[in-house]
Amino acid sequence: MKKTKLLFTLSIFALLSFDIIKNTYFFNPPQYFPQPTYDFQKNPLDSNKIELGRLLFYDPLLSANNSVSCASCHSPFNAFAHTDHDLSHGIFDSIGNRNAPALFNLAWQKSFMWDGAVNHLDMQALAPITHPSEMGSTINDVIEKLNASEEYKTLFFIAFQDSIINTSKILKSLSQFQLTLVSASAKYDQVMLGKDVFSDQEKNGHQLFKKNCAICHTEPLFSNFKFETNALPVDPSLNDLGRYSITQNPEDKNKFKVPSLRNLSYTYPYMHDGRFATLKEAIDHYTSNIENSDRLSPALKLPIKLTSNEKVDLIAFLLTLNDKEFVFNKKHQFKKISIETKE
Amino acid sequence: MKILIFIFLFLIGPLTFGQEALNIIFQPKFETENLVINKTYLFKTDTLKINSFKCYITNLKYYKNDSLVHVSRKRAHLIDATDSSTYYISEHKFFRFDELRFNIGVDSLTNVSGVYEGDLDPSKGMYWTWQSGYINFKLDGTSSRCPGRKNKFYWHIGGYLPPFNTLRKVSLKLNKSHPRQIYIQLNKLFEEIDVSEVYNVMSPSDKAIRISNKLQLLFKQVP
Repeated sequence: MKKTKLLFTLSIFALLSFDIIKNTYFFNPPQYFPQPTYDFQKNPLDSNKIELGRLLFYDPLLSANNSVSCASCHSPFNAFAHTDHDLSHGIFDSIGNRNAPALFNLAWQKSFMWDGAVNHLDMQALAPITHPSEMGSTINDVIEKLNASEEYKTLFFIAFQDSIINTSKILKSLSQFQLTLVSASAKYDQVMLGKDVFSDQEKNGHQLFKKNCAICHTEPLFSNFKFETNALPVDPSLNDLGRYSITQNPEDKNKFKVPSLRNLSYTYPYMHDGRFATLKEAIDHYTSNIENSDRLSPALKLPIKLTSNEKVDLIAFLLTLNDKEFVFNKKHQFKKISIETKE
Repeated sequence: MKILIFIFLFLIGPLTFGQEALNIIFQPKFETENLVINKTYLFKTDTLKINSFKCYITNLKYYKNDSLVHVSRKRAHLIDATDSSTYYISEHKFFRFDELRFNIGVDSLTNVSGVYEGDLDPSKGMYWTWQSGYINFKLDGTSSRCPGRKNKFYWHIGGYLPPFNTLRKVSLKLNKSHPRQIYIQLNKLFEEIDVSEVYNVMSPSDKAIRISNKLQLLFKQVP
């Protein structure tokens, strides 16, 4: 028995020495991407922490009654959004008040959630874990459950050389996994790298995009990650005023964070409350339903006029932002890690 | 061999004889008594109970004749009335000082820099999960004058962004009598804030600012 323990310990150290590879191996965005916002020095990526984060991301243990995981609303096959659900679903069949956003290219985001309520990727997971309509748990409850699992204790030890499970280790692991969710392999990216070319229709769509959409949906991440209002009338059943609920600044009423347009086909329905089921409805909103107001995004003050042919071209371009390789990347999907701890 | 013993004594000597640890005590008080959680206090026309008191003391610095002599080794210190060991802040060396300067609450840089361990661990109940930010000062309880449900009041004072920045700086000039003992005089807050009017404060807001503006008044040297 002592021998197996010794072997086990030795194998852990072997894992440690071979498996820690430099940050760039796990996070290697293309040259034309801007500098990330996330400070990797404070949480350098390594395979053990990423894998632990992946396990936590898919584990319903994070919810109060072990029924809901992060992936319940952020499915890898939907670019980590929740296709076909206008509002997010949570524990005990509860329904939230916003559309679950897609998760990718998070290293470039300065704030999280539709209203920017969360100021750092490491802190983000606390919100859904504790929200009564999402996972309905507490961080102390999660720590207790993880500590009761020999498997997790071993994995935390492998990742952190310390088996004491605490908030920081949980959150940093979750961040590590989510930081590896980089979407940069769409046709658009291939064109940027000179490995592919746009069709004439896509090319025209790209020009229309640059003229009408790119101020907010800035290339190459397709968002400026700022808070803007796009003249969506407030849904009286939700009464969601967006950024205003965080800052209490009247200027921020009805402002929501500009979402990225990458992976659009996988992330419907659209807008913060999922009110538009199709891309066409979303584009029609911008061409037909923008009503001027003081707070309207300056980029929308001039009406966007598109013929129906131009709309078709624009959609053809937007479809080049679908990153199939990202969506079906096995490294991002659920993987059972099993460690033999029986003696 | 003798040389080895000599070297050994030389090395541990300063640890055992030369150094004296220095402790500062932050003692929560209700009027003249040390605070006792869930004890009933009769205060003016009010019957009060404190269920929970927690407060961050950060960036603690020691001064002598207006010049800095020591910066506390701990970035943030959480005082929690359920555990009196948290009232002590100890420094590993001894020095003389006549003034303390510190913040009540967590500074904005720490608030936006991700997750920490120790006293800043978000599991300490002093972090807002739905809207990032530390609670700087938390006082919960019941008051016979409080119109809230079951007479409960919640004073969760936090917020790091203007216009609702609730961090407050304290500098305490100390006389020689008890330079290492500070009282946190909680009854003072009930003199300054009307609990019948302000009782649910759980987000960065005008009400949080009103309370935060009074927090410096609670910190006093033991007379």
